[in-house]
Amino acid sequence: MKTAGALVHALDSRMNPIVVKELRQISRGKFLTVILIGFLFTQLTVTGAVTLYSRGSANPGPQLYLTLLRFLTGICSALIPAYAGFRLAKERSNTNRDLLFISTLKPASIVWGKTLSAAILAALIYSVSMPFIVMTYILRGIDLPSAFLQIALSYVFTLTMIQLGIMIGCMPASRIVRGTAGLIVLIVMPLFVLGSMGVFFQAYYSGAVATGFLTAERDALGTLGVASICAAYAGALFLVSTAFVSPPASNRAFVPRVYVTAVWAVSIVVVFAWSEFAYSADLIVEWMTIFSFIFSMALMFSISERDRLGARVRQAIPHSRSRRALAFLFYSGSAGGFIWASIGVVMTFIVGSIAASAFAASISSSKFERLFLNLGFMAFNSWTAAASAVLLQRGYLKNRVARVHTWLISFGIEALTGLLWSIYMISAGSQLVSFNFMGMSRFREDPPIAAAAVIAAVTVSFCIPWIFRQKAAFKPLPLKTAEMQWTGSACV
Amino acid sequence: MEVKINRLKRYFGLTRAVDDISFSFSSGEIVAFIGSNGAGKTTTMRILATLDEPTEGDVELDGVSAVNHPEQVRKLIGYMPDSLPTHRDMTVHEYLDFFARAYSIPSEKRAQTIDDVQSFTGLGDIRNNTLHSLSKGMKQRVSLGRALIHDPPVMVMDEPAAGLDPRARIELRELLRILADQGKAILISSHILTELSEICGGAVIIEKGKIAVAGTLDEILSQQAPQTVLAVRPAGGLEEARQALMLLPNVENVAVVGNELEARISGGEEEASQILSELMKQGIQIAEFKRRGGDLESLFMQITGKEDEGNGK
Repeated sequence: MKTAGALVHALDSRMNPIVVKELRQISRGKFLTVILIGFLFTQLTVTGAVTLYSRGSANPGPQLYLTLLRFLTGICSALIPAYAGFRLAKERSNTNRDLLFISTLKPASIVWGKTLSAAILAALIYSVSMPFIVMTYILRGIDLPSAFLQIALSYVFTLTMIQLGIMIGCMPASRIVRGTAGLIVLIVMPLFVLGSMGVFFQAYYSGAVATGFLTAERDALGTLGVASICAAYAGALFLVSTAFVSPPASNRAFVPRVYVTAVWAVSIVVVFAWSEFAYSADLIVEWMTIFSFIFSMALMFSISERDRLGARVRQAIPHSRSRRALAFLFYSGSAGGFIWASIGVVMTFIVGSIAASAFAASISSSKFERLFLNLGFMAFNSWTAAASAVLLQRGYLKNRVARVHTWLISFGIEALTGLLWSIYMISAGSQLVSFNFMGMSRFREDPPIAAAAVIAAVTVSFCIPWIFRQKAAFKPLPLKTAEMQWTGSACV
Repeated sequence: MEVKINRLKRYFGLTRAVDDISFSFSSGEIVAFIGSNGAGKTTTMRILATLDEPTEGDVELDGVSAVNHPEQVRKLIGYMPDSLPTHRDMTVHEYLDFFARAYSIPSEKRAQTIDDVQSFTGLGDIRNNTLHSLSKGMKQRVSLGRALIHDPPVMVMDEPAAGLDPRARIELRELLRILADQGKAILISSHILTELSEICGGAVIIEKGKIAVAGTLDEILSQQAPQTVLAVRPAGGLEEARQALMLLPNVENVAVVGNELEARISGGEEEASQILSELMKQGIQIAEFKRRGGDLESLFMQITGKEDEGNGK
């Protein structure tokens, strides 16, 4: 009995306080009741409607199954992340600081607790949907293991979206900025994740079919691959959320930068191995697109970090010159982040060039050339936007726009340049295929990459003194810190 | 435990919210942190509570820096912010339980700790009420309970008496006295200066981010007040005592207030004791004799008034 009691105490002490709090609040609030009843009612309606509509069909199961799965994924990947993000944003608001941030809870614990409680809520809603989904089996045309595999993938996607919602809730910005950025990210990011999943499936299956992979292995490996992509995104979002919640004085950029670099390096090996195995460079093309985009984003976000490091980060700066140079790239700091992201973009292109020559037989050179032009154009525009934002915020808007909001200026410039380039291309007689604010509008003709490169080079050259200043200041604290002088008026 | 605020600066763009302030306080002391709205009190307290980072300077708690080791400092500080808990979906007990868990109080001790805090702050009867349904006074108690849950040696309280009725204020005052007697170092900001002067041993008055006056309450009141006021209640005739007082050196004015005489004198403690002995020599029977310094309220007005004049207002 004593052992059982001790075990209960030990478990209770180890439970994440945020999970306990969140679950208590969720069970007391109206959200859960409303969503569960609403969900049950809607599923009944959908099931009834689809069954009636497909009367006479030999296998109505797949149609109902797909409708229910889309409905479940849509609701869970939109509502639960929004709910989790909103709750966190409310607790993190500057006017209501009574809840989260005045305790000894570690930032990672806070984010993990929020994620876990939202994941439990999602699992509850998925479990409510299970009887309906299993019922589709009775209607025939469904293979249950495949159905469960797809539900598992849908849940993994929902978890990624939950992490996204939490990241937006953690963003250090005003309610308006957070709301606007949140709305944009909530629209763009699911498309990005779904796109990556789709591209992976396509590339994977075409390769698998070409090499005559066994079906069971193919499914399991393919699902694992997609789940890994979602996990990689969720991991990055988790680390960024933790960095947002961490004290400003901490070295909060370090872990996300190391993580992205590690995922980048590991993914090269995986993608090259698969391309070699499947005699297809499709996955490399998508890998280049994804990482060019990620590093271009990193360029624009890293400049929002601080220029001057506090004692807390400086204490951790290595004394050896070579290690310090490496630390400059990975430690918190705007110029270091700018250089790290720039190296990321350049290295992605170098790896892409190696791939282009290694897999020259499996992909047309014009496709690779086109890819390089489009991604290069986007990268140059991102350099221009980020460097201009640095010059503007540090030079002219210091007192109007906070340094942490420099990314907003950068995105504004990126959108403006994207628009101006599109106008220029259209006026020069090019045919617009698709418009994109991130400077990725597609035209039938090649983008003016040389002009974009010159503009980027000129703008970045103006930032060189800013980079050198920070590099020079990136020094560890002296080993023995002098006693601080006590000069103020002391009382009592 | 000694809390040192060392050359603290916090700038927001061109605004110098806190501009090079230094002071210290230690265990068992209650220090009033006084200033007009926007003087920099909350910013300083937020830095102390590790919620904000200074532009320059540091806060040290027995040598532990709030800038370099905020996690360690959070264990040592109980922060009572000016915002109050208003969650609709959380009871008083759940709220305290959450913070007990957040401060890693082990499961075996947690229930007892929460009970102790609830009984100390008088929350036992409302432990199952949701936070949203509580009166302001009760929310203040919950906030105090939360700040005390991990038994920190330092308390930082931002406007804890704002909006409280007189009874709740008196109760809060008593709680603070007990906490100081337990050896906690307390920094408290409030606009209700009469309350502060009754419980605080020291005071720091800041104006526009800079320290205007700092020291023990007695020190700063005697230094700042231009005159000392003596309250004398004679056992015999009031008029006879008034005449005698009027003739003494250093006495500038004597007024009759009820059954007391209020004498304004130049000088401080020494002059006051001379006056008392002169009165005794002359055979005037004294039932009560006390020295009234300037009060905190007038001192604050005097300081902030000077600042305004200095700015040509």
